[in-house]
Amino acid sequence: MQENFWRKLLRELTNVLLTVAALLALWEAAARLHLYDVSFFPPPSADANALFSSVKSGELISDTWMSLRRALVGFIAGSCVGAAAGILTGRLRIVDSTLGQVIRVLRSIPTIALVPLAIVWFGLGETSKYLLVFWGVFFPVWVSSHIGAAQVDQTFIWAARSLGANTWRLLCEVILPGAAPHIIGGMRTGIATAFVVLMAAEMTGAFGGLGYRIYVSHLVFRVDKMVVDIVVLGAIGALTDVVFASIISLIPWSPESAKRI
Amino acid sequence: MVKSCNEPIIVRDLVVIYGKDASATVAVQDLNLRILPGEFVCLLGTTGCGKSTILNVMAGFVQPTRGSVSVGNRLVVSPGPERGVVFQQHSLFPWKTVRGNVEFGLRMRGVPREQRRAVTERYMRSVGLIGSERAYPSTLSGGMQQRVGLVRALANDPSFVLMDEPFGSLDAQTRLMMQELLLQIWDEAEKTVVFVTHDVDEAIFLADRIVVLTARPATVKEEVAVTLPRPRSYEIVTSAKYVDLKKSLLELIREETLKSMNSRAR
Repeated sequence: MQENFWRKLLRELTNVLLTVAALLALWEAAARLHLYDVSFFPPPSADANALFSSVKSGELISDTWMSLRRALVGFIAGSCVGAAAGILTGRLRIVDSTLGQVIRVLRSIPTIALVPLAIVWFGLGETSKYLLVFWGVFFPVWVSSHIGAAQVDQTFIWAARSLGANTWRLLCEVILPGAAPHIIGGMRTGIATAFVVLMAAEMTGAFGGLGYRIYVSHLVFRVDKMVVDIVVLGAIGALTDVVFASIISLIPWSPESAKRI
Repeated sequence: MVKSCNEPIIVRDLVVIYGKDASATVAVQDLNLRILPGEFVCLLGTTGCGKSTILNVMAGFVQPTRGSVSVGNRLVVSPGPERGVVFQQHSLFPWKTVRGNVEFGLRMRGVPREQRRAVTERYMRSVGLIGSERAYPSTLSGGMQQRVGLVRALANDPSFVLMDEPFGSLDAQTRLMMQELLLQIWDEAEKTVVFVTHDVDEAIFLADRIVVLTARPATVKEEVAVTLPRPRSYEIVTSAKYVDLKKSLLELIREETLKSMNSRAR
């Protein structure tokens, strides 16, 4: 089973790489034949050049690191608080009818609408970025954790209770593992949201990071540099998504429907 | 570890009503029952009669609307490790290995690892599951899963074992094996067993006493002592005593089944 998993991953990866390579070749050919205005859409060779110079100057590394750190700090905090809140609202009616209702109202606010407010309150520094990402990650993780915790089979809880589990052991050994596939599914949505929110935050007010760099490159019409940073973002997104999908499919008690995609 | 229990389970004027007002369902009505220490009692009733509800109240999962269940002179208000439960669907924790499941109760009580291993091994051996300790429940057959479920409840050394149609989903051959296994374990462990079933043969084969329940709402229709000698094996099903008993029980159950069919038709 383990073997199959890796073989399948390798095959899928090869297919994707071949497809991408073919598309890039077509694109390069179209540019060389002057089929369109190259300055608006620089061909792969020009983008590769921009990539090299950006790596050489250290700019790309520092921007990527800056964005990654912001995304990760906010993501980890948002996931922890979201999961904890979801388990509480999913299991305790009293918490759900109070805190849960507040969360439901706040959830309907698009996070990006809060970017200017966060800057006013917390400035242009890291705090506003962390908090915005936290806010963006919290809700998807909360929703999934709530559902996951609420649907833990009653007989599991009864079984644990009749075997002498106290509330704490019940939480750690039954509800948490029972809800885990859902919680991780929520984190998978959350990490994608983290980057969406972070880009908006960095483009609005920051002194570094991939979103900031894309915005600055836009102002000076360096499409090649924009493309490089966008590709890096795409790669990070794809990688994190694969990681979370793999975790979900490797959990033996994940529902079959969650293992696909 | 063998612990003889010497307290009865006493059910007094038990009433359980689910829901409220118009949608209320009376599941159990004025049920009185006394289960003696060391006894093997089967609650025999038609499907949906409320027999599982009675067991759930004994386990402490469901609160009585009126009346009470007590063990000795202590009122049952919540689940407790002295009352082990074997569920209809095995309900093994899918995130724990077989060993993790079997050791769960001992771990909750803080029994040290070495001792847990010893107890687990003894029980795993008694049900022929040595070698599957590291397997996850989903990889086992239905019969094996139910055996692990039984062992999980027993390893915690409860005085009472409450069983809710535990063999209902097994095929006929596996069910018979499980019944024989259960009797063998019960014989050695001196536990009080309350076993819920709708299967007349199963009830006769296992029980000291069969409590026949009415169609919903469940209450005691008749109590029948099973005086067949022990140890029992599958051969008793052809004995004259067995056949007589079965005939009278089938009659009783048939009446209730008809009643519940008629009430549903209306």
